[in-house]
Amino acid sequence: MVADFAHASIVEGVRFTAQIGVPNVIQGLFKKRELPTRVASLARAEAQGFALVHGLVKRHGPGPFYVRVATDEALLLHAPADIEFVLGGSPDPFASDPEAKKKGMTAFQPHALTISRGNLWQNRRAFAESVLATGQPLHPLAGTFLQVCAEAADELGEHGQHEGITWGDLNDAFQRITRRVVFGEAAAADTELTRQLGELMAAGNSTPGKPAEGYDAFVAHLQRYVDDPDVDSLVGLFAKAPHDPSTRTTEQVIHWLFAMGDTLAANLMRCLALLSTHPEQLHEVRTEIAGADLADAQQIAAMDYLGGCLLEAMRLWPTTPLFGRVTTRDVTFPGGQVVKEGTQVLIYNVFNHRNRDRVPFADRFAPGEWASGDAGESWQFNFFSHGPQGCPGAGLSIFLGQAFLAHTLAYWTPTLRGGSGLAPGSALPHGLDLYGLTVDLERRGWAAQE
Amino acid sequence: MSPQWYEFPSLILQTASLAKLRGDLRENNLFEAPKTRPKLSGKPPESALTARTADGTWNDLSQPMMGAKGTGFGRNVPLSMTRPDRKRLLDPNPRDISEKLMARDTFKPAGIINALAAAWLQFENHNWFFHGNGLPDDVIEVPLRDSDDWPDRPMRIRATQPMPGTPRNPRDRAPVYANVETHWWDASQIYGSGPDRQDEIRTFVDGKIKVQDDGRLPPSPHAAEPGIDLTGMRENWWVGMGLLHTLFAREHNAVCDALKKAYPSFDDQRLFEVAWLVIAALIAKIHTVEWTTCVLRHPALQIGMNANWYGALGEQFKDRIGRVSDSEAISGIVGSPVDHHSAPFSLTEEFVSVYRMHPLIPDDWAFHRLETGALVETIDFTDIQGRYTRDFMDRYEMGDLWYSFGLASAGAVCLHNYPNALRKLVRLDGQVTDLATLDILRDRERGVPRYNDFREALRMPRRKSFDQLTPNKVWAKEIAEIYKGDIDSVDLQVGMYAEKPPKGFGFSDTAFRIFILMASRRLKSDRFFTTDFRPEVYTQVGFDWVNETSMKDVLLRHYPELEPVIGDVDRVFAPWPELGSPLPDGKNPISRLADTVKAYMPW
Repeated sequence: MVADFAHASIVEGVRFTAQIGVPNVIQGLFKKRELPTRVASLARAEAQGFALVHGLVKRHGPGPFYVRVATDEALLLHAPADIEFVLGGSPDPFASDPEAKKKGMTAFQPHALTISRGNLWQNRRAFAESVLATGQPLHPLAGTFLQVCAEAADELGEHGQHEGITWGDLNDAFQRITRRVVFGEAAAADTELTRQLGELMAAGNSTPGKPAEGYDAFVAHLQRYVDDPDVDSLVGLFAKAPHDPSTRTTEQVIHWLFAMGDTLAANLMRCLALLSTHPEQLHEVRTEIAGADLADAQQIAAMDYLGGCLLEAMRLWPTTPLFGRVTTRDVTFPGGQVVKEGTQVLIYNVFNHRNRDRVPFADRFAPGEWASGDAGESWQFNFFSHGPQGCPGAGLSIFLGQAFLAHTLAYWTPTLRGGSGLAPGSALPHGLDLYGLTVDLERRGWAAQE
Repeated sequence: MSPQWYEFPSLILQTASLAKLRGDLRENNLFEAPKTRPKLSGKPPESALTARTADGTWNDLSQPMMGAKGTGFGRNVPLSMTRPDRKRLLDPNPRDISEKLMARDTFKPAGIINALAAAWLQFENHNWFFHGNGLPDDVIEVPLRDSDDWPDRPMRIRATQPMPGTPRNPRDRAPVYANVETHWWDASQIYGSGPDRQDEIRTFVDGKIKVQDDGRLPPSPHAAEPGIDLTGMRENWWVGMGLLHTLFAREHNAVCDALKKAYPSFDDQRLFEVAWLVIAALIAKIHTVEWTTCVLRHPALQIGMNANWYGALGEQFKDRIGRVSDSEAISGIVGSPVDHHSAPFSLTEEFVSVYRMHPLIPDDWAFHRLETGALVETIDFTDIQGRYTRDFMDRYEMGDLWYSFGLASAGAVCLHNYPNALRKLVRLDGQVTDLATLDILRDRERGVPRYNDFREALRMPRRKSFDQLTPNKVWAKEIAEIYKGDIDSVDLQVGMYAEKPPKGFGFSDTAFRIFILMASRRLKSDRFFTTDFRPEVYTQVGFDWVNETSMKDVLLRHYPELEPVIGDVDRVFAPWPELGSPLPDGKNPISRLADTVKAYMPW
């Protein structure tokens, strides 16, 4: 008999589509829309999605299994070994350009690395890795970026002391940081650029399959900075990075803009909410900060526990709840099961990151698991994806987060306003509504800042 | 006399009766002699606010010597009842009792608990109490019959030494004897009572205690302790102790790893202190909600013991909602305010007496391979204890030993079931001891009342005849002969072993009265189980560790190879299924367990 993976029932597929497939579309695949996200959070969409997949895994696990998503059957992965097989085999035979993703991304970044295949993918990947210093302990411009983050933290601190910090405040600050990091000082106040990107991403939600209106103007806007590069910014590194015309260097920037501006900001907001409500972890962070020179980029990057705090926010509330690959040909899995060409393979981070059967610290805020545990080695956690197509900007992203958090927490004590359901002794909720969070900052006594 | 608690017709009435009994005992059965502990006052050291101390001082911040190592045992009977009857110290001859009433003829299995549960009790006794080794030149001489094959004439048993600074022979009561261990439920069997032993077991790196690379405890470095592991205590060592001490030393180090990961700012000392708090509380919890409910399978105890820890609202409620009341009845003792009731906390001589449960130990031990289930050998207890312990353990994988202990039934706590190996125990220093003789003699020496007086002091009915004492007619006759027809002379141990326990009980109701008082008191008096059982002291990781861990978790964490055997087992202190055999079916766990108890009860 030919081995095959289990198949969830049609009813299970309907529920999967309704509870997981559709909410991800409603929430905005590429740019979160405020109202639906709030509604989804109130409806505990993530908790329901978790419960549904938990039940499916109990019934159809321990291996991957097929589940119907709308009219297609997709293969759902949940075990680290299977995830490793698939993500380790990206982009071929597991390409990261499933149809919906490709169609959506085409609206605002038709030449993105993540939806490229073959030689073109290798070409663009090499460029991204060079500019983003993938895998290197410290980005060559880390010192400059640290200064950028420190200034933003100062400004936001003053604001937070009087009015509290909302997700909007933090995102605005991080959009500014992003513009400075990517393009340099000249772009610091260029909010128009950010607005343009937001509009294009919103257009991507309807998965149009072609560049959205305004895309050319947006690229032209970017091109001005690329043509006159600030040597202290990422575009200043383009000349030395491997590239040719097919790389389309300017358009590679788009992904970095939204990954830093939106995604990292969301994670930092949640991280601040966690630290506001977890005094033990805040104490550990403060201890780490107290032993470091905050003006030294190397020492910032060495703050493993602080980095762990940010990684935990990413694990607990993944900004990419569900992602996929698509088989480029028939693929034989290690157990002999053959998955047909063109099959979608899904990885549901919302479940995998909190799977209590595999993650002992599933519902707790456990930065130490990254700082000195082996969470960083686990294929269970895929907020940065993993393998050859793992996020090339992961290291830079964490560094920017560390720099911002270190400079904020050294001088300010965060308090989360209102009831959030976040508490050290109880399981953290599956969903955390960004728009409902306000963090008040109180200036620390000078003695405490030593 | 009103009905005994277990004679009430419903579970609710039985539980209510037990609660009243405990209240009465707390009110009327806690005593202590003058000078039971030296005075110490002043301001507590900062470190004592959030950590146990090696010698047990400063648990109670207002009475720092309470429960400390070297302080006296209290009493559960009025002091006037504790005056030793020196004229009858050897009457009837305790060696005769050992030979004629105690000696095991055939092994009577307890059925409801395994050998691991037997080892567990001794593990805990070492946590709680030890009267010390006595002096070679201060002995009680027990005359022997000519036909007795005992190697010496007479049998010499070292006298218990009164606490220094207290009268040797007070006129109206027993002397005060001191506990060599701390009185607290502080895992001192692992961590040692006192800083010297504690320093010996520590690595002083990352809070850890010494465990070899192969996962075994290191050997004791002392020449006088051959065959013994390096741990907090050094007496009565055998394979059962080797297993449990190794397990919890490894658990300590696992806690340290988790703490260090979560709290990189902690130094060695703080890691050690918190891990110690966690292990002590974990052991107390396992004892309360797992061991006790297995040994005392009466449905009322299933509820009562869980209520001690979690409160009447139950585990799930506490896990989700936490404490809702300061009342121990509602939210459990653990985390409630500290309360010593009618006397400062100490363990008592009567507590020591009722925990003399040596019949739990089998004489013949079967050892199996975990991998195949094959029987390797059957060996006498003598050869797996004392100086032979380490060598024996080295012949097996730890999984084999655990499996063998899990399979084997403990002995029933009853007459004619005292292990013969313990009736001729060769100690490390060469002393040969008949523990059955010693058990009888110790109660008499220390002024623990005989059976009927003991019961009366606990408001239990006196037994007027030997037939009333035990339903076993043969035993009744044997006891009457030994005690020359005087029911009031019957020793406490003999009475407890002879009486018929309540349904589902692994030991007597008489022992249980002390148990129900002291088991909760060990929790209720201890600041670290009450006022300071909170994340701010234990850390959140430590607090969660205590709350979320069971004995099975501990076993499987360190010996995952046991998964095929105990993966589906609810109670690890009940005999384990043989490798590959299905679990018995069951519906309602409380009633099933209580109703299907197959304890060996020879009546």
